[in-house]
Amino acid sequence: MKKKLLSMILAMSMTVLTACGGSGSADQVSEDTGSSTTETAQSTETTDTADAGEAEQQSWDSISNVTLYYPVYFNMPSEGGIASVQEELNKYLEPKIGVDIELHPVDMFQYTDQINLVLSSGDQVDIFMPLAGLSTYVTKGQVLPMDDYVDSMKEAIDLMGEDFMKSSYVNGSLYSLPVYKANTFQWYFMCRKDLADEAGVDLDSINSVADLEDLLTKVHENHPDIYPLCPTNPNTFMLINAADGPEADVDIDYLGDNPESCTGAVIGNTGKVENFYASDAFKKMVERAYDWNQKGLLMPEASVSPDIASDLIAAGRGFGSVIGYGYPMSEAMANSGTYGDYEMTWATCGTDLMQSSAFSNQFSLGYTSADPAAACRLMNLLWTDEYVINTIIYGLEGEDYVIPDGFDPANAMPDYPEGVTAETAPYQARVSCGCFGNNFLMYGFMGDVKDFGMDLINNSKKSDYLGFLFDGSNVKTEITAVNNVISQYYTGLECGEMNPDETLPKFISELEAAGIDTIIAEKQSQLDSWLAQQ
Amino acid sequence: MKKKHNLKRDIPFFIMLLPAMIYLLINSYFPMFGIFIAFKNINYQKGIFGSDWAGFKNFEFLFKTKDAGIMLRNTLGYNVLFIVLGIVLSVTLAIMLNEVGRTFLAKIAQPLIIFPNIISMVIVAYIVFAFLNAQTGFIDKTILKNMPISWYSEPKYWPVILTIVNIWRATGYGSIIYMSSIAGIDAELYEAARVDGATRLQQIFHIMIPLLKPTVVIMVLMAISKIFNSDFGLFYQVPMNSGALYNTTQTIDTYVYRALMELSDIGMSSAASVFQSVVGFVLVLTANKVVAKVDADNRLF
Repeated sequence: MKKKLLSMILAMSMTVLTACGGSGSADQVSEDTGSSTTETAQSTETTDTADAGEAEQQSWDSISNVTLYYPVYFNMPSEGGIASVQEELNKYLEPKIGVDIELHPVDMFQYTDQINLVLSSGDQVDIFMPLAGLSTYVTKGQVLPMDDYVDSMKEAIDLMGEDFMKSSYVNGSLYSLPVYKANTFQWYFMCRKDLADEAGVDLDSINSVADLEDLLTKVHENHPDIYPLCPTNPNTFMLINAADGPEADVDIDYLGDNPESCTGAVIGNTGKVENFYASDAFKKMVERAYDWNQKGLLMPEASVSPDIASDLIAAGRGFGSVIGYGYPMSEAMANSGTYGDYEMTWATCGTDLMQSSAFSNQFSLGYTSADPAAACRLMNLLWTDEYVINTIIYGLEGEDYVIPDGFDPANAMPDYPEGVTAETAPYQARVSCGCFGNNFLMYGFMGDVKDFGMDLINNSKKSDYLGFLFDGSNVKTEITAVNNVISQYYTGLECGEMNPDETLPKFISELEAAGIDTIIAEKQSQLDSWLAQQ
Repeated sequence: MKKKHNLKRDIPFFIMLLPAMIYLLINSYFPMFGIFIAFKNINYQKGIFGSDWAGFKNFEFLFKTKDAGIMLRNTLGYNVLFIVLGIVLSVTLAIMLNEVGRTFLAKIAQPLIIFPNIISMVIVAYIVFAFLNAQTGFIDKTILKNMPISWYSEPKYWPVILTIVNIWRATGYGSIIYMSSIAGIDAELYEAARVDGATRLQQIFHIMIPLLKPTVVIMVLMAISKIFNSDFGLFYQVPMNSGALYNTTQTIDTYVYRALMELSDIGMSSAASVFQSVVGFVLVLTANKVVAKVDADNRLF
């Protein structure tokens, strides 16, 4: 239980990272959806379909089966657990919206692959997350537009407001609902309190990644055996991820990509798409990484080592790491037990720019949906109904969780029953909380976390291109070639192991040879026409 | 050399063949319809046959970049090396184990040499990492104490490292098939040779190796059909996916994986396997032709 909150948050940060792919608008959309013959053929063979007309009636003479594919982390719910949760939910959902829910939890780390498999096999997929980029699924014809059912989802849409819905439209049609949660990160430097105190650096004076140098140097001098900065996840210090906001002196919008695979970014709200890796901002960041590596401030060979900060710190071999959360750090700290016996403290390192792709954690309607109207009614509840949301996240009260005396659901998660743990609970999907429906209706997230999240949502700096989706299908060949070049150099540069003076020119010229300029031109023209529409 | 077929006598054999034929049909022949996917812009609502044709566009990414040359060179180079070394070492090992005979030692040695083959490549990668990493690696801390090498950023060492790993892993397993061939050699041949005064070595060179030739030829031909495929684990996991090593570790499979991980475009990945299969197919036909010219008895078909 202790380490759950932390791992969950980590997992969420990964979701955000994996959730960035190519995205954009597709030309064929209207045609595709017109030819829905395949879709109806699918639906008749998969379920006893309820006629859309019938479903409109409030009496629900027929109950529609709706499948929900949602990601879970670490502990898969047991089959028995899923069945009993499903049964309880259906008792509630059948009279309310005429839906029989079918839960399909999918391991997060295989989510995109698994979804591709079920989609290509033609199985009934009603609600799922288009994590590889919404526009990709639209181009491939794997999602259905939801315009006809907007009325049944009105509550959910109104709840989130206009900004949140910006990434949900492709070519003017509604294709998704974004997960309602804090969509940007507050960056922290998290470290051992004893060593930080010994170094005598005031943590409040640290406001960005660059400010860490003094602290790291002192710790290195005091304890040459301890790695001052450890990788947050394997093979990354997150230094560049944390540096796209105020740190780089300019706002960088990766236009649907992330720093690890950026095929073109807008640097400083200029409206001009540039090669991020050829920019001064990137040069500055990797030069610093190289400098720190030379000075012994970074763990050496991080680009190949599987070691991560939590293990290194717990083993007494590491000092701290950079990490991004959508939660207040005090909350995460109170629940974290993953750093061995060491007491931890933290400094803040800036907030993210709200990227154009901030809302890419979304739920969409699969093309094999048997009854889209029923699926949309259910989707509405996933954003607005406290009971449905918490049952899917926490399971059944008494079996999967218990509410202790004096429990404050706004600020604490429920306990497991006596003798039950996260591993043995028949059903629990607690770690999915950050990538499911409405985060702020879940137990434990309605109080402080919600306030913090709303603050991030309302007060983070927003990109001028918020909601722009890039569709890379015309330049697929170039994207694959460019991705290959990036994966060859990025990690080595980010971890400070390659000398930028020698490597960066080679990197840039290989990117150009691989055709990055073609992608940039394509991105630019899509961005221009998007801007013209705004 | 045609034999007369006695159908009645052969029926039981055909029945025995049936499960394997069904397996092949389902797993190797039915999926060949998927070749269409390589030439299509897949749209799931339109289906495989309804999607628009893409011509050879899906293949472009395999040849378009400068990396493409490197990866094709690596794939071919490593495979040729592995085929040659694999055969020489496996045959040698098989002969040596055969000479040890049915002693207690041989009973221990046989499972031991096969063992590496059943270890997952991920674990092999960490065994290699334990030898080579900079902080606690065995080699840098003992043998090269005074001049440590940063193995994971120096591409030039990796052809050797990967070859050693592959030999360590594959040779034992590869030798099994030769050992069974050796076991099938008629003992009378050796006896006759011994009567004529042949030494142990002469028996090996004049009886064993010539009789192993058909097996070797078949194994080579089969390996050639996979010459554009590579062991993903060996080339992706063992170098720890280190970008600095791509020059000597990138093969067609790792390239496709890295390129398409984000796009998950089934058209382009199908194109890659169609390319691998077609080249393999052409090479097998050619190699078989060559074998048929040189030594007709040993050809595959």
